Amino acid sequence: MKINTTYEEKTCTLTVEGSIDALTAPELEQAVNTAAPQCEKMIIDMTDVDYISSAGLRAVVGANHKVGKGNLAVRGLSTNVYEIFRMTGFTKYLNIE
Amino acid sequence: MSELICRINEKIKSEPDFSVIVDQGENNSFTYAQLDLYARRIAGKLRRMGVQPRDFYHSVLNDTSNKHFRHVNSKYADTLISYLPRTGGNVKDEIVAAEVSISAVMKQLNRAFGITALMVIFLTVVMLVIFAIIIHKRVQNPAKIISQKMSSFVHDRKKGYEKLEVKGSKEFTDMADSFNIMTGEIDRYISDIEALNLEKHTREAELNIARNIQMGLLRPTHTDTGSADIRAYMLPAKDVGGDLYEYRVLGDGRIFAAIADVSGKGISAALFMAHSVTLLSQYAQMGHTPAQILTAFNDTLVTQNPGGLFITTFIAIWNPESGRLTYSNAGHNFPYVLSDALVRLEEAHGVAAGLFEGEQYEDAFIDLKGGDILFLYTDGVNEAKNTDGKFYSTERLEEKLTACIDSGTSETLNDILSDLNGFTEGAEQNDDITMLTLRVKPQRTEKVLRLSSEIPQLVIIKEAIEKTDLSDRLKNKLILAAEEMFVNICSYAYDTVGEVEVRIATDQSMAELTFIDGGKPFDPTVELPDIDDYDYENTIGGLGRFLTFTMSDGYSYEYRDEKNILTIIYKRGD
Repeated sequence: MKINTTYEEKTCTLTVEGSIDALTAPELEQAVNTAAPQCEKMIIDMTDVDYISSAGLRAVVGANHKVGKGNLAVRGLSTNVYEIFRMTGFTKYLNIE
Repeated sequence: MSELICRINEKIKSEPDFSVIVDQGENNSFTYAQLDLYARRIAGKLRRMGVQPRDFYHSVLNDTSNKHFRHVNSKYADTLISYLPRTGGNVKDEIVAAEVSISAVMKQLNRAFGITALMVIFLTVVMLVIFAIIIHKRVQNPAKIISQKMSSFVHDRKKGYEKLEVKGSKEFTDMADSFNIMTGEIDRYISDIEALNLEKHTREAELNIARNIQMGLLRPTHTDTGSADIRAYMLPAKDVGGDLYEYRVLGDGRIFAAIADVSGKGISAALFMAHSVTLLSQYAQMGHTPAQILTAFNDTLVTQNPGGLFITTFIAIWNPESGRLTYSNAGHNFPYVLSDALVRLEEAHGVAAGLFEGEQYEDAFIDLKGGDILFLYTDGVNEAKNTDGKFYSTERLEEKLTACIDSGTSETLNDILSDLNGFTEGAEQNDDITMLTLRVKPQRTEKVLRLSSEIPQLVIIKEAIEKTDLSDRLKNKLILAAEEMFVNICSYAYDTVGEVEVRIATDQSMAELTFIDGGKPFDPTVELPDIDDYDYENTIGGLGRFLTFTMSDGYSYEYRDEKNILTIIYKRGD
């Protein structure tokens, strides 16, 4: 998994590539923890994410906690990933772009 | 005078003995009776002399000089009376009277007339009878004979026809002659038609035998080789076809499959087809690759092809060990592989066989995994027409094949065939329709992984799942389940590191994931979170289990021999 974080004014964008699973989720949590203090709004771009497990979902929930509810947006969900979000009710809980 | 006769007659009756004539000189006298007697004698004499009453009458009437004859016609009598004065000698004033009764004469006359009339009637009747016989002989008889002959000719043909002999009027003999000519012609036509029919039946019977021989050259329509399930279908448009299919398991376990379409139709195409089947089968068993088979096949055909026919054919050899399909194409339409998507095999496409000597063909490859289907067909499929004259088309074929992939059916050939039959219903079949499918049977395989309860071991499980022949979608489900369950075990089963056994089993229809650990008893299948009422802010557990079991097609848990045994099942083709 690769994560590229970019900052634009008070919005930070985390572009993730690869699988977000139990092994890689800590990396995402780390990246979120690093970026969160420097921005008010956070975008996680998952255009190139082909797999996410519950560990990945927990990292996303953690990011939501960090930036405060309503300040996190998730973007670019592939069919497989969107299906996981939908089944777990995350599509209602999070801002999906 | 007639009054006189009347009176005399009256006197004869009333006074027969009164002397009416007295000869004073000789003192002779005549009584009335005597007078009557003499008169009757004279009349009798006259009659005997041949005097006819009418003649007499006429001569009396016509002879104006003779005033002595009178016709008396009164209420008393209808009589001719003659008085003759006696002359000569010395007797004077002597009267001789004669009388003829007209009614008596008329009676005689009437009798004669009656006889004549009877004679005339008799003759007329005789003539009528003769005429009727003639009519009967000349008209009615011939008409009856002709009618009977016609009837027997129409209704009793088996009896055969005897020439019609008719004697009668010209019209009838002419009619009989025409009828004879007509029946002769009809008989000839009928025997011609019967001969043609017999010939046709013989030909049909021979074609039927030819067809049976031809179909007998083809392999069964269904074979299970163990590693593959092969189905074939062929329906010749005419009695014998120019299409062929062939498959066989080669000595080394590889499977040879071919489909071909000979140019032209009928007997010549069928013979060429029979020759081709034999050749292909022979070359296939010599251990050649499809390209080598085609090259040899082509060279042989070119030298043994006086009819100038050619054949388009696609040849494939599948190796069950490696899953690799090698193929080569001689001008045949592109076959398909039904895998995760529809793949058209367009590589290694050369010219039709039988045309150019020394033609070199090439091999191409594609790897097939369990559940993949190779679909071969001839243009009788895509060029089949419906009643509106529209083609079934490759587009529709591809659509239907894609639908087969989506439905995960193993009955691809039957699905295409029923769609094709629905499309062409009521239309005439123009070309042979031939199809062959080779479905790679997913084998029952089981991979057993013995791992330590450490999360990085997850990589090993993922790799093993990736190596299965499951569809990408199914692999994703298994990988997710494996991660969620394995991570749970790693996190909670043991206080320190323990052992975890993971089994990944697949067969034709399903996949099975099993986790066995010797840690604390824990049933992950119970108390799944309610997603509709989930507290994302505070509770963030159970999502993995929820996802795992929701996405599976079945699961079971048991604690046996101090081991947690969890099994999760997935169906193929969903």
